[in-house]
Amino acid sequence: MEIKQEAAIDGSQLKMMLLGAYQSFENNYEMINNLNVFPVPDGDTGTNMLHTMAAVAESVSKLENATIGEVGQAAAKSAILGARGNSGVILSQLLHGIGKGLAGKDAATNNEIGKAFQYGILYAYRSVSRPVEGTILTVARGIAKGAYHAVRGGLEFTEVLRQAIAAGRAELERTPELLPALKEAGVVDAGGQGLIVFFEGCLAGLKGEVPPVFLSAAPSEVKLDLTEEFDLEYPYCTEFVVRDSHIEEKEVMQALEGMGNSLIVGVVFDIVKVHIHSKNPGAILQKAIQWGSLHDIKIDNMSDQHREKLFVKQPAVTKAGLAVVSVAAGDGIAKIMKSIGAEEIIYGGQSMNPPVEDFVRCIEEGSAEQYIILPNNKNIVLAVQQVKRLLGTKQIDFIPTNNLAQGLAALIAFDKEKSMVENVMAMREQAKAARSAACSIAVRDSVVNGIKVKKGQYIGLAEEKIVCAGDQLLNVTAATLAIAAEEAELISIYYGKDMPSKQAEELAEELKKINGDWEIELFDGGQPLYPLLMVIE
Amino acid sequence: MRNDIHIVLDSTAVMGETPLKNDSRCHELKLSVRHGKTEWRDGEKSLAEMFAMVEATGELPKTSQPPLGDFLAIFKELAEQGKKILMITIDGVLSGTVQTARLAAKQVIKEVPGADIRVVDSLTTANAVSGMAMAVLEYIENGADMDEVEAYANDLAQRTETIFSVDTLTYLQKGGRIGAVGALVGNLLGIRPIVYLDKKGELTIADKVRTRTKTLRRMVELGERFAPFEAMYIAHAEAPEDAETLKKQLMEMYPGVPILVTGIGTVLASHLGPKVIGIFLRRKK
Repeated sequence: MEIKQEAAIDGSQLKMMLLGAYQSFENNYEMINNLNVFPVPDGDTGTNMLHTMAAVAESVSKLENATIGEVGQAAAKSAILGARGNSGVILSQLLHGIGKGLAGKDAATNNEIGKAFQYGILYAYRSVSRPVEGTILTVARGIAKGAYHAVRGGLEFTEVLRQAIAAGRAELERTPELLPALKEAGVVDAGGQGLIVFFEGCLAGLKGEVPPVFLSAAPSEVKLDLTEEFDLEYPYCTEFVVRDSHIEEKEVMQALEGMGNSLIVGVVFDIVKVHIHSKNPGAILQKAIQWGSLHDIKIDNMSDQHREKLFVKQPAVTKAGLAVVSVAAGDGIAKIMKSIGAEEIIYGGQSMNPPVEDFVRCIEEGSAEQYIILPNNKNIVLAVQQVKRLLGTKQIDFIPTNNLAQGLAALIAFDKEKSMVENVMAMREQAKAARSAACSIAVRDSVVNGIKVKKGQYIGLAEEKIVCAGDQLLNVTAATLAIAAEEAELISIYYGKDMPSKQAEELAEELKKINGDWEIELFDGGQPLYPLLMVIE
Repeated sequence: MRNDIHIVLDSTAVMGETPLKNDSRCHELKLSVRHGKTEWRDGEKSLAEMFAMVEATGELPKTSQPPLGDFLAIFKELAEQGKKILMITIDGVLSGTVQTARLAAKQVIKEVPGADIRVVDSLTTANAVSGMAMAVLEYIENGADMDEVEAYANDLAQRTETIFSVDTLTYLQKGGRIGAVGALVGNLLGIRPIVYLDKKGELTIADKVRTRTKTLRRMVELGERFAPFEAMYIAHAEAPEDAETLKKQLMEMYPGVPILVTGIGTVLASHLGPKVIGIFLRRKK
C-alpha cells in the first residue's frame, strides 16, 4: 500500500542537513579519533570524515535555490573526490547513493528521501569488498533497518531519521561484542560512530538547529561526471527490487554472478535490491521472480547514453604508456621511489591520507595512458579503489600495498615494457612477499595484544602488528627486529624527518653491536610520526 | 683425418684458462682494449690493472674486435696447410667479430682452392664458448664431416643459456650496451639486474635484486627452468668467492654434470665491470 505524500523535503532543506552533518563532524571528530583502537598515529577516522564532509559543505553552501536532485548530486560529486581514508570513502559512497536516489527530483516526499537514504546505505555497503561485522557496516545496516520500518510506517522524515539513528546506535553499542579488538580497547567502532554523527547532524540541520556554514576554500577544479563505467559487452543496466523474499544475499550473488558484471546486491530486511549490467535482462528477471515479487524494474541500454567526457579539462598532450603513481610519506621516500621507477608521487601516509581528488588530478595531468597506483598504506587503499572506479579499469589498476615495504617491492617489480595485467600480477606477488617493520610513538594509552602501551612511548610494529613498547628507541627497535627480521639478509631503515642523520647512524651502529648478523642500510625517509620505517629482505 | 679440423676462437672465450690451452688444433684471435693512449691486446693486462686505470681517470676503456688482417692471416695459414676451419665467435649482438670473421672466411675461400671455413655465432661469450669448442673436438673424434660439425656447433649455441649479474651499472651504461637495463640506472636502492642473454642476443632483465647473496641464489633459481644440463660454466671478474658459492650450489643440484670455472678477459670486463659473474648452462638435447 502506497501512501500518497506531499513533497516534504526540498533542496535547501537537504543543504541544511548536509551543512548540519559537517557541523556535527566539526564538533565530534576528535571524539571519533579517540575511538581509535591502536595507539599508532594513523589516519584518524574522525579527521578523514571531517575532511570529506568539508568538501561537501564547501560545494553545497554555494548552491542557491537548487533542487533536491541538484544538491544531492553536488554532495555526491564533492564527497567522492574529497574522500580521505577508508572511512571517508565509505561516507562518500553513502552520499553517492543518496544523490542517486534523489537525482532529477525537485523535492522529495518523506518516502522518497527515506528511500534515497536507504540507497545510500546500500552504496556504502558495496564500497567494501570484504564486509566485516562490528564495523561501520553493521551500524549502516542498523540504520537502514530503522529507516525502513519508519518509512513503511509513513512517518515524517525527522521521525524517520530519529528512528534510524536509534536503531544505528543500538548496533553501534553491539560492535565491541562483534570485534574483540574493540572490546579489548573498551571502545565502539569509530567509523560506525562517525555514521551516527553524520545522521545526527542531518537531523539537527533539518530542524534548523545549526547555523549554515560558509567556507572560503578555493573551489575544486576537477569536474566529474558520475556516469557509471560500462562495458558494451553488457549493455543493459538492470535494476530491480524483490519484495517479500527469503533469499540470502549470498544466494543472489551466486545466482547472478555469471550473468553480467557490476553486480551489486543489497538485502535489507525482506527486500533485495539488485543492480547488474547484463547481456540478457530477461534471463535475470526470470531468475529473480522465483525469489519474490519484482518491483521498481528499470532497464537501460547504456549505449544509448551519451557518455560525457569525464573531465572538462583535457590535457593537450597525447597520453601513452604505462606508469606508476606511488604514495610517499616523506621527501626521501619519494626520491627513492622515483629513482626506482615511480612516475608520479602523491604525498600522504599515516595521519595524512590524501583525498581521491589528488589522485584523479595527478593522473589527469600525467602523461601516461594507464596507471598502476600504490597506496602504500592500509587506510588509503579504499580511496585508491575509488579512483579506479571513477576512472575505469582500462586506465587504472592498483596493488593494495599496506606499507612502505610492500610498495617498494611492487615498484621494483614494475616493468614499463610489459602490459598492465602482467605488471599487476608480478607486482602483487612481490608485494605479498615483502616484510615490514616500524617504530612509532604511541598517541594514547592502550593495551594491544596484551602489550601495555603508554602515551609517548616508542612502539614497535612487525607488519601491522604491535609487538613491543618501551621508552628507549634502540631497545624497541632491537626487540622489533628480533621478531620481524628473522633470517634477514638486509634491513633497510628509513629514518623520519624528526631524526637527525647522525642519530640514525648511531642507532644503526648500536643495532649491529646487538646482532652482528644484521646488515643494515640507512635511508633518509623524511616521513613524519614514524621515527623508523623498516624494510626487511 | 680428424686432425684436419681446426678451431678458432676469439679471446673473450678465455681459451688459455681452459683445457684447450695446449691443444694444437685450437687458435685464438685477440680483441684489443684502449684506455686513453694505452692500448693492449686481450690478456696482456690484468683486470686489476685495468680497473685501477678506470678508477684513476673515471674513463672507461674502448674495445675493438680483432683486425680483419688477423682473421685473414690465420684462416689462410690453416687453409693452405689443408686444414678445415671452424670459428666460434662471441655473440653477434655484443660484438661485430662474427661479421668480420664471415667476411674473412669468404675472401680466403675465394683465394685458397679447396678451403672450407665455417663461422658459428655462439650466441654467448666467455668460457662457455671454449666449452663449445671442447664439445666439438669430442664430437669430431667420431669422424664427422664439416656440415655436421657446423650444425652441431649451432646446436650447442642454441642450447647454451646465459645468466649474469653485474655489480655496478656504470660499465654497461657507459659502454652503450644497456638495453632494458637502462631503467635501473641511478636507482637509490642499489638494485642490480640479473640479466638473461636471450637467443636474439638481447639483454633482458630476468629479475632485480638488492643483495649479493640473493643475486647468486636467484641466478641459480632462474637457471633451474633449463635443466637437465650437459655442461655448466661459471665466469667472473675477480669474484672467486661468489664463483665458489655458485659452483657448490650447482654441483649439489646437478651432480655429475661437468663444471668449469674461469675468469674473464679485459675486453668483456671493460663492458661489464668488476665483480660481474655469469653462469652458462648447456641444456641436454
